[in-house]
Amino acid sequence: MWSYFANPGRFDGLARTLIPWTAGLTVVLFAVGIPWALVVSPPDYQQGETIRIMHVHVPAAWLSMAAYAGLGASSFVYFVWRHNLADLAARSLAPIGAVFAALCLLTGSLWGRPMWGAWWVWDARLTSMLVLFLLFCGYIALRVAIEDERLAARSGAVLAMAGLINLPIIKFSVDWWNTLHQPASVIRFDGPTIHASQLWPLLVMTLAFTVFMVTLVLSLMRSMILETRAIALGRAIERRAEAEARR
Amino acid sequence: MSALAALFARELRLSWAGGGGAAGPAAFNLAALTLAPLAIGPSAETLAAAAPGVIAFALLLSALQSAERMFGEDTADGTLELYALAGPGLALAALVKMAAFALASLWPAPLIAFFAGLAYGLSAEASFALAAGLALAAPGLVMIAGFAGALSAGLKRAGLLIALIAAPLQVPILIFASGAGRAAAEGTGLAGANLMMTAAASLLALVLAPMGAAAALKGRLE
Amino acid sequence: MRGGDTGCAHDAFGYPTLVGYVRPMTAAAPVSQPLIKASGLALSRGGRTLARGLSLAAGPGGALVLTGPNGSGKTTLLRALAGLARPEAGQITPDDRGEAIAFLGHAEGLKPSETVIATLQFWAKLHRAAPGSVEAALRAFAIAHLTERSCGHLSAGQRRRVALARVALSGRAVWLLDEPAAPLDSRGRALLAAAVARHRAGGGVVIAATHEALDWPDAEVISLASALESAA
Repeated sequence: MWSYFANPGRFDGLARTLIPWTAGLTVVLFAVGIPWALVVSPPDYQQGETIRIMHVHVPAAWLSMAAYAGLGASSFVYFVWRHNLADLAARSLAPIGAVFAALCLLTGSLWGRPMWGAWWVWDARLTSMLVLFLLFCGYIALRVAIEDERLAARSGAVLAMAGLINLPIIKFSVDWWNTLHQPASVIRFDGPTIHASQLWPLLVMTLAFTVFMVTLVLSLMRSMILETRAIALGRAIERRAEAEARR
Repeated sequence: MSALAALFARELRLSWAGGGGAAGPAAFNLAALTLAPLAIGPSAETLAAAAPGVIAFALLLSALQSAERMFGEDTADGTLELYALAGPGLALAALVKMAAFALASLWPAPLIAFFAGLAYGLSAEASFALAAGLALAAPGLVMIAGFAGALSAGLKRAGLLIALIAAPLQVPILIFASGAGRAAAEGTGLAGANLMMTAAASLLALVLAPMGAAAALKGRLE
Repeated sequence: MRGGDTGCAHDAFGYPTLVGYVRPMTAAAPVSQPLIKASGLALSRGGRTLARGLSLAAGPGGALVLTGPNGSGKTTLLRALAGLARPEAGQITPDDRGEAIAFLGHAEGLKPSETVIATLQFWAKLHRAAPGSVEAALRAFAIAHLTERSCGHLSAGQRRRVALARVALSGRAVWLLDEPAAPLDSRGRALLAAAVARHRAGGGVVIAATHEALDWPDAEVISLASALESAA
């Protein structure tokens, strides 16, 4: 089945049919999730209204991690089988993952101000997210710096795989650093006890962000396929002109 | 084996003679360690608290500083193609090359760390733990910097790119190595554990980074 | 093993085993089998197709001269033969030829701070060359007077001679040379021709890319210009 859709033309057709559906679902889920999370759900007994930031912060954190996992997985597929589609997936996932990581950091900072009394605290989770954000930035910077498309794809794949292998080690080391040298934070974000009245809107929001991300990835991949086609067309025209000139 | 030994000897000689050996990174390291207290302030207490972090960070910077040269020159002058065809394979060649580079350029780093630790007000014991941590960390830091160097060999502004790529990957080694010094200074009894973790993270880099560098360099040759 | 190769009709192989086989070859192949063979190659550079349907083979004692205008893919073909570049399509055999190849590219791989003698001794050690091969290579390219000079202080022609000496002492069977004669003077070209003749007489193969005439006897000339036309 994978090799069937590995054909860019076929994938383009599939994406074209899927995108309206996922886009529609995104709108519906946000239409339900945003009012539920921001208005209907009760404020937290300890954190008050600021708990609502969690409904953006937590999905953003999960999705940026999912995006890096997807980046690493599609990089692996590209590196081993050289499916161009896998590279397109990697190329689209990187900026989206970076934006979600940035969103997570920003909301974390906003939440930290009333909770910790500071815009930034070197909490283990936030610090790991910051490192993840740097990993995305390094990947994007490397791809931008290499002009040759194929080399950029290959180098990017190698870096993303290295990052994926390192991610658990980084997470572990940051936890180690944090717990051994700083007192644990009094209030944590998603502790094990999360009330059902908060859990349901959180799940809806997470689902909404997920479908949103799928829509973005599919559209980005489609636009890249069209771009590649346009470039190939331009090359063919150029070649024909060259052949004419030689004649 | 003799081929690898010949390669190691050549790379050692080249980074000694052509690249200035350890003088550049050591001078850079010393300059950073001289400026840091001027920026932090003269309070003995603050300095001693900051010492493990500042000293480990200075080493990390000096490892990054010359990473651009590691594969950049070989890519430009055709040496890379010859190494690729030489027999041992690119991954082993990259490992040997980076190991020679680490030895040639960073051998004074633990010494500098020990004396800097004393100068910053750490006890001899804590300075020694820190120096040991950095001696274990240096090979891993160089391997990761070399991996980043292989990815960005021959690119414009490769130095900046190397720092951005290597920084997140170097996080664990930096944490464990400076943690060894801090644990010894604070007397938490965790210096040994931190040293073990430093060695483990460094070893992992020693295994994975040459393979990654070889994959990156192979792509560059094609 | 590669039984299919023997039936290939190319005049570049099928040379008799030759006398004066001095150095042991890294990849000893039966006489009738080509040391390197490519079939149905398609090459591209930067997403642009350079040549299509290219085939060649060379057996012991054979020499191929690849000609064609700038940009016709000579260098890309040599790199593909060396295993440094991946062809778009087609096959190059044997797969494990890397150990049999001595490559000379545009860039010579010389280090400015290293002396000529240190460079050649290093490569001799890396290739496990026979003792005395460094001296022989120095003589073959008339660079014995340059040994203590560092490579950064050599002229373009002298650099090329040192790089050719590196190829000669490798003891490898297949020489792939990219514009080997370009910066050489007439004496240098004569020395190169002599070294190539000696290598072929020893059962080796030489494949060179060039845009100028090389008077190597019995070398098969492959023009890449026509391949380019057919690709366009």
